[in-house]
Amino acid sequence: METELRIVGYDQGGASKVYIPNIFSLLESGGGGELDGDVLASTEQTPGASELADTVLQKVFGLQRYFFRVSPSLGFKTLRVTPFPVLSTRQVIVAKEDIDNQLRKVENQIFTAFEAEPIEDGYSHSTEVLLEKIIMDFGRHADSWLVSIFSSARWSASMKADLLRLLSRQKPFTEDWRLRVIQIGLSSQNIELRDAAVQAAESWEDPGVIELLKSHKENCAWLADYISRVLQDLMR
Amino acid sequence: MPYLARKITRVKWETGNEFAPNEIPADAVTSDLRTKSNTLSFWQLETPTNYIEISKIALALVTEADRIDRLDLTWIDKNGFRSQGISVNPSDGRTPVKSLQSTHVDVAKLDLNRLSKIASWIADGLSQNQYRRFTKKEIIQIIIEAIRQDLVSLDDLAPKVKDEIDKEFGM
Repeated sequence: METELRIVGYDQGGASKVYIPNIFSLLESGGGGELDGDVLASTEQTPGASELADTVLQKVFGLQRYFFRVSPSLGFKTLRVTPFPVLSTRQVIVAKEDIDNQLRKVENQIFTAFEAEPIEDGYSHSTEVLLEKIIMDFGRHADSWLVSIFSSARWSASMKADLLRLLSRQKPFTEDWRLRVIQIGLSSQNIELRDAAVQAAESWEDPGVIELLKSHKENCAWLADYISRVLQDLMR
Repeated sequence: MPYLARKITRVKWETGNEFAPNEIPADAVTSDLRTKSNTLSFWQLETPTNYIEISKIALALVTEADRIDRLDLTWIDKNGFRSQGISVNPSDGRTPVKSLQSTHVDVAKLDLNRLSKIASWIADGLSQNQYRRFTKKEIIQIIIEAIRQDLVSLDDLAPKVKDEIDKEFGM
């Protein structure tokens, strides 16, 4: 039986998710699912194809050993699951386009969710889970994708503010990334986005936000008051 | 009690450059005045300038929430409801703080005109600073204080709220 190997995300020199349809794993809980594991990958330009394939094979051999332990007949059946393809650079480039397509689809999902359900302080929103998964699965691609949303005009300021309010409910990426997003928000002409940036600063509590908030000149009185009270809270 | 208080999202009511000062952005109405069974939820308030009193309204609201965030409260004159024939019905609030449940009212039988009146009152109130924003830290402090005073138990709170309280103060 031939199987198809599709990369759903990768990171420079880091671990990447590999999804292999038709190869099923058994879980200790008794359930099962298609193999969805981490493999080592190198940069986009040098995909480390053999490394990828080797790692996948290692995982499959591990699974085969497990099947043999659980049931020898099941183990023998898994031996027929060959061959495994070796990835080429072209396939990896296709996979990059796949990531962009998936992130575009995610944007549409977020739009729809925001329209259906307003974001309310104090209450969870369905998009939080989606964002958490995207950040976990897409790593640096999600990082630059989110920055591109905040710095481009393809989303309205109000939608960006909603997105930032949801992101502030987790602690994504690095402090540098978070400070950059807060800075983009604070420098906006739109008060919703500035307000969301202060809320993010309040939630993330990164030491660097104190200077950012102190140096921000706010012309709206109630928002300026909020900033000064958040500063007091952060410095306490 | 001369005022009725309600949770809002302050920034949605900002007119900015997009609207004239007397206009109300539609997002404010669709996000903050979403009715259920043509009813809106309010909390009775005697003296909005009294921090303890307004903190109790905040406590009632945040203890029924499923996470801790900052909170925006606004209040409007209760007499306006009466003069416009808008029904204000006592109804127990959905809060685990039992002593505050009876301060809740339902503003009922709302049609578009009456809803629009309420939106105008809120907008007018905000222009006169009838508004209080509680920071996230303040909210945490209010909950902690309520637990200390036995107004609410940690077990009555939503898991995320409980986690935040545990994390901040190691209760």
